[in-house]
Amino acid sequence: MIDVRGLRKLYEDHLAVNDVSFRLQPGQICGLVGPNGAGKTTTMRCLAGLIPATEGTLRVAGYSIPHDLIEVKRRLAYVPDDPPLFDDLTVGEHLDFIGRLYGVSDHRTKGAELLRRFALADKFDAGATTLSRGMRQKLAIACAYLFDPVVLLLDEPMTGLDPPGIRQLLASIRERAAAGTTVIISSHLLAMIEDVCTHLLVMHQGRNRYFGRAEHLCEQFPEAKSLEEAFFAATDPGRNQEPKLTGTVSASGGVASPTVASPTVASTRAPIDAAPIDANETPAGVGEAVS
Amino acid sequence: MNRVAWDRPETHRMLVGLTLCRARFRVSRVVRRLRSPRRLVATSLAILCFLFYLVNGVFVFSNRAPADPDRLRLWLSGGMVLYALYHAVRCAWSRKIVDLEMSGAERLWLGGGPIHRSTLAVYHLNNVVVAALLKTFLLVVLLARDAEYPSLLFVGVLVSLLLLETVRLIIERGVAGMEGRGKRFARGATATVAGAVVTWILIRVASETPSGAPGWAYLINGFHAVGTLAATDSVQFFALPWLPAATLAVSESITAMTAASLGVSVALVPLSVIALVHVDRWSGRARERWERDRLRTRVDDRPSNAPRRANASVVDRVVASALDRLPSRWSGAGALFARQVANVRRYAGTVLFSFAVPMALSLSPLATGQISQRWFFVVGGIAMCTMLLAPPALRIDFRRDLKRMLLLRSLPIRPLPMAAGQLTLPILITIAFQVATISIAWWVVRPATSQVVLWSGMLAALAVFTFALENALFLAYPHHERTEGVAMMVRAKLTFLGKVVLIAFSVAMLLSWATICGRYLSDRWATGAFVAGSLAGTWAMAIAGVAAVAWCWSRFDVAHDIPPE
Repeated sequence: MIDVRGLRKLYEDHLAVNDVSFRLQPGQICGLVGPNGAGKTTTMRCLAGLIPATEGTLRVAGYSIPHDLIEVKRRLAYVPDDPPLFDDLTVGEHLDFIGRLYGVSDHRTKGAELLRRFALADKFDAGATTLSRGMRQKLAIACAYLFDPVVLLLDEPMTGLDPPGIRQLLASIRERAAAGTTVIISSHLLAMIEDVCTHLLVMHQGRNRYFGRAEHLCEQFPEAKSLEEAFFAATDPGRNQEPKLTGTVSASGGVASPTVASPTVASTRAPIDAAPIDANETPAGVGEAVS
Repeated sequence: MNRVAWDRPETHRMLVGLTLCRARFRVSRVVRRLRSPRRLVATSLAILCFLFYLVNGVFVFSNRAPADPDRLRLWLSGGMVLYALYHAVRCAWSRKIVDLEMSGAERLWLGGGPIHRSTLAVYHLNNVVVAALLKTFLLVVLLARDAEYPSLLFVGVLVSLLLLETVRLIIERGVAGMEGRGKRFARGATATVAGAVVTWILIRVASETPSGAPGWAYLINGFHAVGTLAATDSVQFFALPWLPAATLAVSESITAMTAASLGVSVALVPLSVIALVHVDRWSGRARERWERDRLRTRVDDRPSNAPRRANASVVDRVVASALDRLPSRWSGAGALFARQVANVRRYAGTVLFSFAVPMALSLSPLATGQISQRWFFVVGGIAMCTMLLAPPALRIDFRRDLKRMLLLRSLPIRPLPMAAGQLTLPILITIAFQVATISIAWWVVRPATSQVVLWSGMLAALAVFTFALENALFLAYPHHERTEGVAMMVRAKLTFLGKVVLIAFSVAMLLSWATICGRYLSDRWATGAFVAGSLAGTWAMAIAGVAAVAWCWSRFDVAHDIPPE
């Protein structure tokens, strides 16, 4: 569903994303985590086709970016952190417009249901500028859900949401994944999303530090007592002086596991080169260090 | 991806629906807010201005001698080329890359939606139609006397303006796709052509105006020179796309040629959109190619998080040292000033170029014969440039910070230091321009010292007053940077009119004060009193202007005053 190989993105002379590879299947929820400036948003924007990748192969729902960009956009929804809305449209008009844009049949009924679910029903006629930060976030998510995308990219979706809103959002993400949607959800805070994620992609300074099933991140760092501690260990610059990521395509067409190469961990593990990172495969290579 | 793709008509209809929906919201917002006194004042002024223009059009413009249709045709098409040239210079020297001038919401929901770039180009053009219609209407009122068929004039002017808008975007996207040698060539070429145009006009004015002629003769001949330039073969060569519309606008009879002109000029609009789409596609690909090349030539592929400059530059050190000496009450203003300095350093080339042309224009009277008038014309030129050209060239004050108003509001800075921090740098740059121009004029003309002191002081006060006025108006009636439309056009006209009235009023006040000093004071005291009084008066106005900015800022309501983007 999502297949990224060797993604690199250069802004002026700053390499924001460096050789990131991963693959996700339908129904999987991937937590894209990392500190500020890790390259999470850039990775998402490249996947959404909003900015072109400098290098790399990106495929979404079987379509290639940038060659089948319109087909990708038809099937993908991206909700950025603090989403910009049309200041001169009401809540209802936003949903109406998105419904028409994506050719959603009966979009009014569906839109009303989404508004009810996200506690925005009484804001139907309110202008976008009158909404609070959290309400704007909810409206953008409702717009994204309206056309049932097969790939959903949520960039820091919980920022500004109230606790019931967060609970509702996480529940809706699980439901969508159960229905076959592939979801990437980015966050600085692993603790907020660890319950919902089947997979984790840990990024630091533009590089892929770990990709694989969420539960295997702890195995990577035996000394870590929780997933969050393992995440901190993975993104600790002191531990990862020179992380080596293979990210090369294997002879079988898989992508080598881009896992961490913590000097302390690497010495205890056998090197692997061409383990597939296809996330629904047995994570034999995932969690393994590369010497 | 090898050929340009187009969306189905339903997509275009849906986007027209979006434009109409947004327009409806804006209109209802305007109507809702009309009850507020300051909106009521602005609306009343706009209506009065509009009525005055209309009445003037009916009773004054319609009674003048009609212009020669051939000349009007050449002016219309050539004028568009000159505007396109101005825009090309701006684009080539700007470091900002604009993507079809879309807002954040448009970039996300339209740019991220299943819509081809071609549709976005059409959408942009649809969004400027209303503004183009109003501009056309105003121009038709002015030119109706010169055309046999006002309806054809209307269509011709409207098509010309829409074509100009598309050409503007083509230039913008074309320049966005350039880097390295191509960009340097574009900068050199546009600067050379613009320089040649200005030189041509100056030489023409100097040769056509007899030595010692009054000031208005230079102004009239200046307009005449621009008209003559627009009609030259070289400009007309580039005006080819506008020729059918210009021919249509001045048609003297309905013939097959008129029908052909109508057909071609209307057809040129979609053709220009096709050209825009092709240039946009080329531009996008070129940028990707440049990016890949840069990636290949990078020595180190690790993210560069290390600070770029270990040592601060001389400018940084001087600014920092000066700001450190500020009293704590004004340290906030100092911080804002330092931020503006950092911004301006990135655009230093553009700023210098923006002031090179006004300087050349201001100094042009030095080529005339009368010594006494030369000095006053230079000073007059500087005053005009300070009031009319400097504010749009230096939008580095409140006008650039509409999206950051909440952040500014959250800073622990009181209104007066806030106004000072935001306004100081553009004012200093303008004063630097004034001092440089006055110095050259002084070196050539050698006026009396009192004259230099008087005008340097008054022009500096004018710079303060001008930027204060612009910012006070902006805070009272804020708008986004690239806003188009009826309100913006009326606002621009009213502001221009207001400035012209202000200049005229200031000149009248100065003359009155000079008369009073001459009549009631002895020769010994008259000059000193005139200089001191004039400086005190103008600086009092300037300080009042800054106080007005501080007052407007203290009343600025982040929740209500920021208009929809």
